[in-house]
Amino acid sequence: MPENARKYLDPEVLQGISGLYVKARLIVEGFVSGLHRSPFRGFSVEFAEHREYVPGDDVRHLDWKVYGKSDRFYIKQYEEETNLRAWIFVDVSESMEYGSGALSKIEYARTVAASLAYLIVRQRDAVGLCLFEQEVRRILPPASSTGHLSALVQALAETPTGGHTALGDVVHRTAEQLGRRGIIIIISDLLDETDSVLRAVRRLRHANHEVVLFHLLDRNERTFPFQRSTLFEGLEGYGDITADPPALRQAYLQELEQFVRTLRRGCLGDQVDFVDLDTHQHLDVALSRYLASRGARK
Amino acid sequence: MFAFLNPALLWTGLGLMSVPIVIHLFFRHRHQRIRWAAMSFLLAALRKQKRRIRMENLLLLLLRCALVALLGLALARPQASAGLLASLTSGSRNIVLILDTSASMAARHTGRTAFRRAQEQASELLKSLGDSSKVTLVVTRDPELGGVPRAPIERAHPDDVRRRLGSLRTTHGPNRLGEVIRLAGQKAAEMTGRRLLIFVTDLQKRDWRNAEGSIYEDLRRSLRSLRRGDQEAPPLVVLDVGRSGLANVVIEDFTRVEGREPIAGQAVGLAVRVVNYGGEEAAGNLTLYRAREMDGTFQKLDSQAAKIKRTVGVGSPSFEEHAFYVTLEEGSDGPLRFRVAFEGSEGGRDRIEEDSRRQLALRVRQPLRILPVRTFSYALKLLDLVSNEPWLDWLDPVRPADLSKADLGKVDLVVWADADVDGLDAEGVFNLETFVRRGGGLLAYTGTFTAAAPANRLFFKERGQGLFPMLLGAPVELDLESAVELDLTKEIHHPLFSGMTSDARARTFFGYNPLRITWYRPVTGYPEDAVVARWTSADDAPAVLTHRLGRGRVVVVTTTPDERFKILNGSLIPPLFFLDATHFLVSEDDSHRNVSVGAPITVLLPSTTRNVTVERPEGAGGTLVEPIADASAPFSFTDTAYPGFYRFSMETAVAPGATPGTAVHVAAVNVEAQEGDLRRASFTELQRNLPGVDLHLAEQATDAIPQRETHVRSELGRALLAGVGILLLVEMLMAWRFGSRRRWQA
Repeated sequence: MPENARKYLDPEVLQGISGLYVKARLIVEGFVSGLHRSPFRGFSVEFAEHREYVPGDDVRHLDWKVYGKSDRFYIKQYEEETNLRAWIFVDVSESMEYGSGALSKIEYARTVAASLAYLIVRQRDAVGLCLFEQEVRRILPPASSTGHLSALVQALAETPTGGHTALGDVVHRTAEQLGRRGIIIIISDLLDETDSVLRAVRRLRHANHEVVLFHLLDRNERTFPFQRSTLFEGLEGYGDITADPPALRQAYLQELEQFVRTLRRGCLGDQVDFVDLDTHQHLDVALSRYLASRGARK
Repeated sequence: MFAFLNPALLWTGLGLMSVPIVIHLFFRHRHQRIRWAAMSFLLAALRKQKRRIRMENLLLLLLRCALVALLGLALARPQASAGLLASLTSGSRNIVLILDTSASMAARHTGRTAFRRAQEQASELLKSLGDSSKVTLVVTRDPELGGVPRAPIERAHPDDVRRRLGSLRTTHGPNRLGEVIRLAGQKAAEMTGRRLLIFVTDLQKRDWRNAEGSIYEDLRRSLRSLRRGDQEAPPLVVLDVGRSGLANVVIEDFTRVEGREPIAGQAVGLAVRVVNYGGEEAAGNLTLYRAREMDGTFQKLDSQAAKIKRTVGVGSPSFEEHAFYVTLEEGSDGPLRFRVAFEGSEGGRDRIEEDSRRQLALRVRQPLRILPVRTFSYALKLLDLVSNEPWLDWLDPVRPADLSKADLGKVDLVVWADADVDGLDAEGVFNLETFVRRGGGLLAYTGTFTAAAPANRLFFKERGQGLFPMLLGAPVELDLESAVELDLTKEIHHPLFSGMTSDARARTFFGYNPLRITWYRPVTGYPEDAVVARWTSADDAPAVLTHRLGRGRVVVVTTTPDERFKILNGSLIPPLFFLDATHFLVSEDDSHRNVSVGAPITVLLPSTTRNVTVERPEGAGGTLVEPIADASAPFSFTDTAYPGFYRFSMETAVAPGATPGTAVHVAAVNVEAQEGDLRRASFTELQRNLPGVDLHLAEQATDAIPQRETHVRSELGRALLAGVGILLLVEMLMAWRFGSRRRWQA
C-alpha cells in the first residue's frame, strides 16, 4: 500500500469506529452473511420466527417438529445475513481543494472514504468507489477483498482534483453500473444546484439504494469568519470578488443555511441520511456520529 | 458660546476627523487573497446586500468622523460662555467682590500692572455670572475717603459692576484689611441665598501681617459672624493677580537729619533711606531736587555744591542710607520743597514708580533773636541752659531800666528773667507792649524778684489789654470739682502745648512733664483765651498762662494764688519749661509737614485766621477754600490720598481795620514705603492661619466660582467625554449589527 494512501487508514480513525457497526436502515437483499438484516427470509441458516402455513408456501420450510407437537403447520422463517454492497462517491471537483485547517476538503473526503471502505471490507462487505466531478473520473466496482481495498485507496490518493461538481449527471451515467440495491455514500461539498443534487439522490432512492449524503464543508465556509477586506478568487470557474466579509457575513450565512436546509429537507423527504461534516471535526467523531445514528435506527 | 482652554487640541481633533476617511481609502486597496469555493453563496449575498452595505458603511464612516471630532472637542476643554453657563446653572449668586486698590497693585510686570490684571479677571468673573446674580463691589481703599474701604456699588447687576470697574484706580497707600473684611462681612450679611466673598488681590504679605499685628483673627471672626442658622459662612475665594519674586526699589525714608533746625544760612541734612525689596541687586541714581519758590517746578540742585546725585547699588535684600547736606540761603523764610528720586538703570526693578521717589517740606526760619531782661545773676542759669541751642541768637542781657525801643526793634523775643520791675517805667512798659502787639514774643518768668504789686500795676490791665492776663498773687477762684488731669497732646488742642516736648532726663529726676496738667475751668477773672495749668506735682505747681496781645503772644509762668512759687527757687523746672516754651515759640514739628498718604496734615493757625486755601497736587482735586471759625484749634486736612505737596495759605487779620496778612504752610504727602515690599503671603500660610474658614485660591477668574459653575464646567467636560463614550458604544454596536465588528478600514 503506498505511503500516501496509508495515511487515509489512520489507525486512530479506525480504532475510533471499529467497535461500531454499520447497519443499513433498509434491508439489502443478498445472500452474504453478516450483520445486515435481509428482507429475504428462507434462505439463510439463522431461524427467525414461525408463521402458519398458507397454501402456496414451499413445503420444504415446514417445521415438522412443531407439527408433531402441536399438530399444526408452521413455516420456519430464517434471516439471511448477506454482504453489504456499498458505493462510495467522492467529489473530486476543484471546489474540494479549499481548506483552512489541517486538511482540505478533498483530503478530508479521501480520509473519510478510505476509512469507510476499510470498515466495510473488514465486515466482509463489498465496497465500490466512484470519483467524480462533472464526469466520472474513476470508478471501481464493489469488492470485499483486501487487494480491492488497496486499489481503492490508491485510486483515492492518486486522482487529482479539477472540474466542477455535477452530481446529477454523474448519477445518471453510473446508475446502470450500481447493480442491485445497496448503500450509496456520497462525500461532497455539494456546491451544485440543489435541484441537481436532490434529483440524483432521488434517482438512487428510486433504485432502492440507501443513500448517505455527507455534506462536507470547511469550517470557514460554514462560519465565514473573515474580518479584513478580502479578494475572493473563485474556484470552479467563478470570477474574483473583493468584499468586506463582516458586511456580507449575515447574508452569506443565510444563503448557506437556505442551501443546506433545502438539501436536508429534500433528503428527509427521500429518506436519505444527510450528514454535515466539517473539515475541522475529528474524523472519528464524524464517522462515529454517523454510525451511531445509524445504529440507533436499527 | 464656547471658548477653549486647549484650542490647539480642537483643531487637532477636527483634523483627526479625516482619519477614518484616510483609513478607509488607505485600506481600500489592501486586502487579503483567498481561493474560495463557496462563491455561489457569496455572490448571492453580495447581490442582496450591496445597497444596504453601502448605506451602512457611509453611516459608520460618518459616525466615526463624529466620534473623532467629539473627542477632539472634549480634549480641547471647552468653556461655556457666560450666557450659556448662566443658563446651565440657572442659579443666582450674591457676591461681595473685593478689589485690592492699594499702592502695591500698581506694581508692573511685563508692562501690565497687577491692578489691570485684577480688573480683567474681575470683569471675566462678572461676565460668567447669571443675570439674577447680585454683586456688591468693595474697594479696599477709597481715595475720596482718605484710604478707608468703601462699597461704591451695592447689590447691582454684574454688568453694572463691570462697567464700574473701568473707572477704578489704584491708590497710594496700604490696605487695612481688618476694616476691609469687616465691611465686606457687613455687605455679605445684608445678602441672602448663596453668598460668596471674592478677594482680588496681589496677596501682599504686609496686608495680612502688618505692623499692627495679624488680621487673621479679625478675618476669622468676620467670616464666622456670617453664619446663619444652618447656613454656613460664605466661602472666601482669593483670586491671586500678583506675581512672585518681583524686585522693587523704594525710598523708604526722606527726613531732615535730627538736631539740625532748618535755619537760614545754615546747612541742613537730608537723610535718605533706599531699600531694595528685590531678589537681586539694583543700581541707579539717587537724585535730589528742590522746587523753585517762584513756580514750584523741581530742579536738580547744583551737583557740585551739594553732591545731590549719587550712584548707588543696593544689595538684595538690603538698604542704603545717604545724607545730603544743603545750605539754606539767607533770606529763605518760606517752606522749602525737596524731592529725592531713585532712577533705576533698569526700569524693571522699579515696579512701582510712586514709591521710588519721596518728597519733603521744610519750614525754614530765620534764627530767633532773643533779648534777656534780668536783674539778678541767678537768671543766667536759665541762659546757660538754653543758650547753646543753634537756632537761638541770644543777645547780651539788659536790665529793665535799659530796655530801649531800639533794642526791641532788633529782636523777636524778650525773655523776662524774674527781673525787678522797679527800674521799668511807663515808657518801657509801653515799648514792650507795642513790641508784642506788632508780633513780638514775651516769655515772662515771674519769680521771687518780680514783686507782685508793681508788676501788676505795670503789666495788668482790665479785659486782658495789658501784658499780663492776671494779677500776680491775686486770689483765683478755681472750680476744683471740675479739675481734670489731661494729656495735653491728646485732649487740649492748644497751640501752647501741642508743640511742646519734654526732656526725658528732666522727667526722670524732677517729675517734670509739661504735657500732663491739671486743668481748671472756668477760671474766674481771666480773659477767655487764657489757659490755666500747673504741673501735675501739686507741691511745686506754678501756673502757666498764655495770652495773646495783638499779633504777639505772651507766656507767663507765675505763682499760684497761694504763693507756693517761692519754694521753686533753685529748682531747674522753670528753666526747663522756658526751654520748651521757647521751642514752641520758634519752631514747628516737621511731622506735621511730611505724612503718608491718608494721614491728616495738621496746620497750626495764626489766631486771626479767617480762612485757609488748600492747593492740592496736580490731579488731586485742585484748590479748596475752608473758612475758619475757631483759629485756636489746629486745622486738620485729611484728604491726602494723593502724593505730592499740599500748600496751605492762611489769610489772617491782625486787628480791626488792618490789612490781612498771609502765612504759608507746605506739607509733603508720600506713598507709604511699606507698599514697596512686594513679598507675598503664601496661600498655605493663609490656610494655616484661617482654620475653619472655607478658603479657596484661584489664579483665573474661571476658577473663582468654586461650586456650582465649576461643577457645571466639569460636567460639561464629562458630558463631552460621555458623549464620546456613547458614540463609541453606538459605533461598536452598529459595527456589530452591520456585520460582526466591522473594521474601521471597511
